[in-house]
Amino acid sequence: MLPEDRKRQGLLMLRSVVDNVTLPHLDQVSGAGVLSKRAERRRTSELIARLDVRTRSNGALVNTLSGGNQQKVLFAKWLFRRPRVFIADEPTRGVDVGAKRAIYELIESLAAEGLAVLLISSEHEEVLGLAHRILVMRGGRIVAEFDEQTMSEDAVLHAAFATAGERVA
Amino acid sequence: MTATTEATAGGAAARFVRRVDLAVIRDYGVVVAFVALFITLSLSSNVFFTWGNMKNLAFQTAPVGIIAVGGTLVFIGGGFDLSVGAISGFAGIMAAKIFTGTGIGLWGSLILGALVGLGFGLGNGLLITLGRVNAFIATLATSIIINGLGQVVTSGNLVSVSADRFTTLGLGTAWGINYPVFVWFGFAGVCGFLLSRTAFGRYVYAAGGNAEAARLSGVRVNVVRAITFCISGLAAGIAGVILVSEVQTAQWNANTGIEFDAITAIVLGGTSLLGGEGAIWRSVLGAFFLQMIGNGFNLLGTTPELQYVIKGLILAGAVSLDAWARRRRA
Repeated sequence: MLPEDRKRQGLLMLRSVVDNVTLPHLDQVSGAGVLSKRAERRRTSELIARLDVRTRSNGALVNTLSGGNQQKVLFAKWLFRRPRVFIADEPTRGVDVGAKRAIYELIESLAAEGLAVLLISSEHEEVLGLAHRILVMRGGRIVAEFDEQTMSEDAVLHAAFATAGERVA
Repeated sequence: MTATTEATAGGAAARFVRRVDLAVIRDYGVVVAFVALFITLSLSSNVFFTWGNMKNLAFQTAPVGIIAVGGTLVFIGGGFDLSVGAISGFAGIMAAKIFTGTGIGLWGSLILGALVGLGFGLGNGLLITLGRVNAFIATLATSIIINGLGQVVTSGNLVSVSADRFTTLGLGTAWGINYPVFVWFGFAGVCGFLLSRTAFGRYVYAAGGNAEAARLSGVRVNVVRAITFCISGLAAGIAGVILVSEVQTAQWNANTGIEFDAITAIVLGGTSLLGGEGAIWRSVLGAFFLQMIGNGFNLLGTTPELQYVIKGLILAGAVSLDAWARRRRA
């Protein structure tokens, strides 16, 4: 689960990359509650190499990383256990253009590996570019569904905004 | 207008910070200050750096040091414990009463006294997590309650223990070093291991650093926080039985104020009041530093009253430095 607000809901900004990545998985890198720092570092290094996180070392504090790299640390955190479903809530918020590209490619490669990715986004270009199936929500309800044949920018935007005016009036 | 002023001030501060990295001073300030004071005192007094004085220094610091070690866990977990002074007083009373009133023996009564502290710590933990009371207020309330209980069970009087055997823990020595010093270092070692080498320690940092992120990562934040208060209560209990064993008398208000010494030691060490950061060794060094100020004033024969002014100023300075360092990194 990649949360919407990474600083508030995702990361311990003053802890290291390793600490953040392994936090939900400490049972896998410890015996009788005692941590194996070596196992932690090894598993984290594998993940950050695969996700191409640009960091001096995996002991670096998360707040020294760029927004895009922080986001990739969160990907690493939730890919540690090979989930079957990956929920990405606004994965490119506060991320620069280059890193956005990398995150899109990452999401595509996860889907290609067979993970179900649930992408939540308010940027319609992002949704149209990545999704195989789109559900449009408005006012807490699903108001439209598109598949690869029926999706188009106009149709999605229309479903998202067209009747909003009526509601206000 | 306001924005421009702030921006300029921010710019000036940033330039200053680039020259002297505040975060580094904050992180290792206690080491630098400790070494500086240590050298100064060694040079200005020929008694300071002697085995006898070093031993004495560690012995005098032990009770506050033990409480500071327990309190460090609470601080890192995002809590605050004001009740340790009252708890240590009550634990001392219980140890003395159990020793004189039952046949349970010396060590049994001391251990039970310390466990009373653990019990109060659990009470604090439950009140703060399940009761959702702010930690500062909750432990203020429990310290009032515990002080009241201490007066009730003693009718406000001193509890004296006449048997000299009772002083074994407080005044006994091994290789010339008093037992409380071993207890302190042992306790610090265990807590340091918990914090830096175990999953529990990682959860403490997570709970204090970002409770929401910790919860979403599967950390049972309330359980972790409650355990930190239990450990702090136990630490206060241990300190309480050590102190009562030193003087053979217990009184409900005997240790009033020790909580502030412990908090001062923790903060001087560089463990943040805001949680998520810190270490046990910092508080051990912080406690030593604090005691060294008092020791130095005594040895140099300067006006001893002034030491409180100095201690207060140093504390204020340390917290201010922490705030500056944090703002820069936020």
